Amino acid sequence: MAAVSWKDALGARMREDWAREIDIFETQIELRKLGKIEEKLFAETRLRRGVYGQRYDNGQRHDGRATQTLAFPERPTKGPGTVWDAPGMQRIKIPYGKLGADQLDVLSDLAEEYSDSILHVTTRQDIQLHFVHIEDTPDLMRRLAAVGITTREACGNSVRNVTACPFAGVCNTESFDVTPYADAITFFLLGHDDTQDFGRKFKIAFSGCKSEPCGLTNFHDIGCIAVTRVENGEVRRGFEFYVGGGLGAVPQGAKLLDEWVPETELLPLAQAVSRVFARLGEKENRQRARFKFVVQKLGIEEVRRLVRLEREKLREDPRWTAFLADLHHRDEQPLRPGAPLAESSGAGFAAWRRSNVRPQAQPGYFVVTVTLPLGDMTASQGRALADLARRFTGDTLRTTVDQNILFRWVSGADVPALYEALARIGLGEPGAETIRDVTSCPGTDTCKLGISSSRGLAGELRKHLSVIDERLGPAADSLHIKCSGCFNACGQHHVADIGFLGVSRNVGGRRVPHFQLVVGGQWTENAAAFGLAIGAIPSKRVPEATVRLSESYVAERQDGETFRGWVERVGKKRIRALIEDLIPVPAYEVDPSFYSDWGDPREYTIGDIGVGECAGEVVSFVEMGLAASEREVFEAQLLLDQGETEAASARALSAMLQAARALTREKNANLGEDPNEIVTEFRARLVDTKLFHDPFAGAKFAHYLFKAHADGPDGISREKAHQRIEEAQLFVDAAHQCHARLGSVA
Amino acid sequence: MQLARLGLKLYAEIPGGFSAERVIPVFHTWIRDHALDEVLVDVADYTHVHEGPGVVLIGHGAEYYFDLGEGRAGLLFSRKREGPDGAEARIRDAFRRALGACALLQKESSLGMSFKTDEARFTVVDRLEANNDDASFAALRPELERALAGVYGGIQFELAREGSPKDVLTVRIRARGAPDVAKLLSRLTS
Repeated sequence: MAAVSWKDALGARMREDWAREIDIFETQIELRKLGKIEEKLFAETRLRRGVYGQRYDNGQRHDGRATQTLAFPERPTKGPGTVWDAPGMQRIKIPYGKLGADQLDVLSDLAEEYSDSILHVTTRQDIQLHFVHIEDTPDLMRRLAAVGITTREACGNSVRNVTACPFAGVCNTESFDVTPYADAITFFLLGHDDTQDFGRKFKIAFSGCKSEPCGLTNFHDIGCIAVTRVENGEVRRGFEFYVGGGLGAVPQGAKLLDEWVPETELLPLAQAVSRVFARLGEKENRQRARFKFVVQKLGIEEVRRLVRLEREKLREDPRWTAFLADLHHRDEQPLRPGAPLAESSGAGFAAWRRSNVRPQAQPGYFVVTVTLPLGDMTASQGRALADLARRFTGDTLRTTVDQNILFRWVSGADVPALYEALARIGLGEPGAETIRDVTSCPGTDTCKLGISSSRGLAGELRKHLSVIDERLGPAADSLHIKCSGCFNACGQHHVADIGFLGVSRNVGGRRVPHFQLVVGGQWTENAAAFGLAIGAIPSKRVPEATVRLSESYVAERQDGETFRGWVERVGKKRIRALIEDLIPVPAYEVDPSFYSDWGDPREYTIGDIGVGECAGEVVSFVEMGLAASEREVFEAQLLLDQGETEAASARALSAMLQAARALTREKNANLGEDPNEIVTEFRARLVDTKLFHDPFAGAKFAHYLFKAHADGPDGISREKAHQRIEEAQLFVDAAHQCHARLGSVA
Repeated sequence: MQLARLGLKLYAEIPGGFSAERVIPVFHTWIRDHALDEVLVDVADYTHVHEGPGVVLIGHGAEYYFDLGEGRAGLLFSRKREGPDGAEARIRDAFRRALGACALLQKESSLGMSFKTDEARFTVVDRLEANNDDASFAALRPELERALAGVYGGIQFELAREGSPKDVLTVRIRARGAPDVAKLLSRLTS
């Protein structure tokens, strides 16, 4: 007989504290419906349960012609400007990507019953379900809790999913298996008093080695790389401990806080860092609230001093070292005996094996990557994968930051049979971690902040690259392509060989979706370097640009040269020249297809991400000025490449001044060219009036100009010049948006 | 049974083959023109996954999938909340809405598709209420039969449970000689 409720059905199978938390959340939902909880408080409450907003949840949607109000029932909001009944996203933390078969079964059931039958693997090893109603979330959480998954602190100002190299424990290059450490820090900091007062999210990543990309520690708030030392004849485990990395609008590489943190000090040091962040992190201005800004502002030396002071003040906690007593209790055991890799003459096997199978450190065992298109799998595929895990590996799956799934501990004898089984459920696609394995954030498909359709683009690129894959040959296999729908960089485009960042441009009074091309990021060595923008390309021409870049690299590369090495050798000017003719947009009357985005036939608009778009005329002077400012940003990049740091910095500042003047002259026709006058007038007429404010970032981009103007170019370091160029690009993009708002181009 | 969450799939015949590029604009137009008696929110394209949800017209109370599951294209109506009270009424409502959507799709000459009425797939998308087993099927059967008698009139139909225990309760409906979409729909809306 069916139970009355999931709470009754699962009661004893849930951890008591988790069950209690979910009951409380359910009560909070009811109280909010009665208007007894303030909406901002409720919003943060639900975010800390992973219950996130989605596009159109303000109840407005542009249909390609006009904005329409969606006729949801009249109910209290679930946050400022967020309609109660609007579908939302449920983010589900999968710590270090480790997923059991039973967990995947339940996740699949939840996708089928509460979502749209799709499980989406994110670039941080989470799983997301979209189009979920808030009132379904307590039961959804209970069903997860019953299989050992909590959604607590999946969103909000909290410690997000702790990520780790998905090859941990089976990798050939790791110092040791970071799995138990990632697990320990996950549950030590979950709900910890010292992580409850952050002004912004906080991300932690683990890597087993320095050389590979898998942990991506360079762009995390805390990044831990496993290292060993021999002390008194014994091998000791510890970590290189980095802090203050982050992507977002302006990426920042993490700084080394300590080159040797013994394993016994890992948790207390993370706790001390959390205290520093909670105490000194920005609380008012969300755009500068990540820990990277604390590190940037104080410098790593001062942060190191403060962290050590906090560490000294901490009260001893037995949990710091309790997990070390049984480090191996979570070690995975193979289901079947190891064996050499078996061959198969089956169609497609050889190509799939080349890209999707790699040997483990343990002889006779292999890691098999399941390529998920755009990180998606159906509920049926999820359940089938769970069954395959039971059949071939026991219970060992991991999600990856490439939005794929790994089977580990597959006996070499079983690889052909696993391939056949995967192919039968449509998951036998080759090309894992190659150029065709394009990753993407959700973008305009579901994200409120999306500017362009990153998923639409990624899907299109996959199609194009699958066709020309063989022509490009193995040289292109190592390339990574990543797409973000906006400057927040969830698609991690900064660290791709070829990255794309969604922007929009105004052409003849209409909006056109574009992607800023970013090249030369470094995926290896834990994402050691960030790329720089080359220029904005109309969305519909991005596939052609990608093919050109790939083909040129393959044709021109020297022995063993990486894509980044090629970019550095031939120079950004050459890269720009390769795509220059793709940048102009045909008039609407000539080719209207440019005026809609990939996979979305509506005439393109940015109206769904902002408010206050108002009517007006497009003024050609402004467009000219903005185009000139874009050119200057590019010139600044070239100067930087040539080692002319100060000149590059000055050019970046000039670009911002150019854009500011173009906009401000609309308000003051007598505006001159003196930088002081431009800045003063720009501040008074566009910033103080909030006309320049980005709907989400506020005055953030204006401050890039003010700071650069105040600092000037003298004595600037290369790193600072690089950052200024990034900021100039963002300022120019913001000027475009401002111009569109003032000119009523939606 | 409450049938708070249920699914009903009607199968399409598309001589020219399925094209997401043709279906997606139609669904967007339905949102813009308020073509259905639903709060419609967005269109999601999942045609990149194998035998998946295809193209989904997201709604508040219900969703409409141009579904590619089972390797067969069809219109899947998925009730998630709201709707009439009572199992029989909810099943009839599902048929009315699914057939209504099918009728609209058939009118779109660019799609070149028609819908079969002699076969359907009914699911109870709620594992708390029903498992895919004989006991749950037996509990559902009387109400499903009453509702189908109203849908098909005097036409005989057969019911068979299918799928694995991990699936939601799934019932295959076959009604040889069932009238076409327009006639069934007129019976349900009259």
